[in-house]
Amino acid sequence: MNGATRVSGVRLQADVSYWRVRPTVVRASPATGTFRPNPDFGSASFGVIAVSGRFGSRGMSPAFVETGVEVGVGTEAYGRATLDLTLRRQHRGTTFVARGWAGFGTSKLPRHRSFAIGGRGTLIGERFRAWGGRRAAVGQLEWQVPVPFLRLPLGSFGSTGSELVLAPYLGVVWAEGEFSELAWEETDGVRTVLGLGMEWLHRLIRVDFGYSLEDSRLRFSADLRRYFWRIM
Amino acid sequence: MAILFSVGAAAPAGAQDWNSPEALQIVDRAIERRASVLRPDGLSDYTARAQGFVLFLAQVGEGFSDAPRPVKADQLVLEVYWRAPGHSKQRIVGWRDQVDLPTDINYHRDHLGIVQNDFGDRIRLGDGHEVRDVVHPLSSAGRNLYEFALADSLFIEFPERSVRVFQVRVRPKDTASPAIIGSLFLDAVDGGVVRFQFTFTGATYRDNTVEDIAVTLENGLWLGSHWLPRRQEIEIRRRSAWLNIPARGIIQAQWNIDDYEFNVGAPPGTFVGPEIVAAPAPVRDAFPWEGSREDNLRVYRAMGPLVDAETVREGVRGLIADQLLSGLSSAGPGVRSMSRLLHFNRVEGLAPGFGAVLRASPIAGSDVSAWLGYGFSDERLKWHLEVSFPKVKAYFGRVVRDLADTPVTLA
Repeated sequence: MNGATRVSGVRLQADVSYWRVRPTVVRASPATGTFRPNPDFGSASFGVIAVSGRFGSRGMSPAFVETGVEVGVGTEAYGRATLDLTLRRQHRGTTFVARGWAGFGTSKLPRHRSFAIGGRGTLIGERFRAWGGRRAAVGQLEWQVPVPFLRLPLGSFGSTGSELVLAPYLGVVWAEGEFSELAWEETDGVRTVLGLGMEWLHRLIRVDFGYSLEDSRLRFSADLRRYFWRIM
Repeated sequence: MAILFSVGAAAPAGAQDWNSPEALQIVDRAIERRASVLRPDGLSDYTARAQGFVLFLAQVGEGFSDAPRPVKADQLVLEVYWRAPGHSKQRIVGWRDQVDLPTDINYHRDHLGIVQNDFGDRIRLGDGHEVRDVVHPLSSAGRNLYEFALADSLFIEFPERSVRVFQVRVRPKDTASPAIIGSLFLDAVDGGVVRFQFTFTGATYRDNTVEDIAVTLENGLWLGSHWLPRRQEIEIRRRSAWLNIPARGIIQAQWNIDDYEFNVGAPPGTFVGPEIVAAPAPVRDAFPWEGSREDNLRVYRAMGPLVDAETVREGVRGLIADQLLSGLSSAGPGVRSMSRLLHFNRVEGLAPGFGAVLRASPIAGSDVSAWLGYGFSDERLKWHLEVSFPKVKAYFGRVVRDLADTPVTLA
């Protein structure tokens, strides 16, 4: 059960819930090859109380802060907190975006509430969910620069637009307090990614190329913008 | 420049003294004034200029908790003509747009212009496809179809004089019929309409994708006795007609009307043809814009709405039952996201599903939703049942959940 209220740019939410967590194993068969195994989260039951808040300002330099604190009580009690900061600043037709995210869990954090970072959704350039544990942080600084691009007609939907947004970025990730049963590991220091995002079709589609300085590997992702993920 | 002062405590919306003699006296004065305003003393015609934006926004996600995103923004400048008795013409002379997301939206013609004559005796929107021929509460027919309650008393300070204004709440006698519901702000002396802010009953909407429409018309005092359009705002919210996916399109039109000139004589043939027309493309393209569209839009946004559409909707709470304020159907198939209909993952395999929603109060956000899915690989049923109230939600279910927190990405 949860309740939420919004007061002039501030949204507060409180959740009270009871979770019965059961492991899920891979059942489906791929057309070729094999699926990677599902992490073993074990079986547990928890009563959970969580409070979260979103604070934002709009205008030329919008800034958003999202934070959440969660306390769970089951066979053992745990605590978990996250903080997410986003800042956008426009400058001469370009936009600088800075985002920092950090999560902290207590020593009794259950496996299914651990942090997992890397790849799609977190940091392109790193392996998918390669890093994580009881504590983790990600930072990304991006410069979004619109450049002229080939405009293709789309009939009644207008056109693809005459711009492509190039977005070079620098990303860092750090994690520690790993679980021996899970695939994501500590980072052993801060890892760095250099990348280039490209947004096309009125910024509806985004393609990212990220290069991990530690792995010397180039990885990529193509997706809809995050805003639309919630109805996909 | 006008400043509104409230000198009376507004009565709670649900505790009105409906159809009191005082309220009906004010309304009768306004109806009489409105009937005569088509042939006002000392005013045979006027021209004015309307400047504004028509914005198309998208809002997605369960609960619509995030702010709407811009899809398309049209900036327009119109030459406005009026001639007694009640003739109106509008000509779009400046028009530039910006598209932020692909869209095939085509606005109804009346979305691109202002409202003159306070809608006349019948209210139409969307060229009659959204709202058609709803009786105006200040028409002769409206007197018997609506109920009126005196809610507040205000003063508007003009440089030359102070005008006392009564806020009169309006609701239909038959709440299941097409009608408006909202507030009239009427000049206490002559019954002129100073401001009209309202929404509609759910039965009004002719298009089943229309969730609701909020309208605010504010008039300014000219020549000492004529209340003519000054600022206007309209917000039309539509929902996805497809399985109640939480996706909403919002049209917001905001207008400022000024540069009035009176009794100048409109050129012959001005009022022939449709009320709102666009000047030829070369004329529109040559319009001497001041500032960039982005700068102007920023100025409009900084000004803020005259009356926020949410305030209009809040203002009618309690006047009639909430479920009668929305154009959406009260029950039907519905899912939160497209993957709830069909998805594939390595645990469930191919997993079809289906859901339904029952809306107790679409405006307040009270509803019950349920979903049932089945994974062909794990051979298990998944389900959820959710009961939502405006501030509280209860959720029960058995689902396969991904580990991830909110994704950490800039895109």
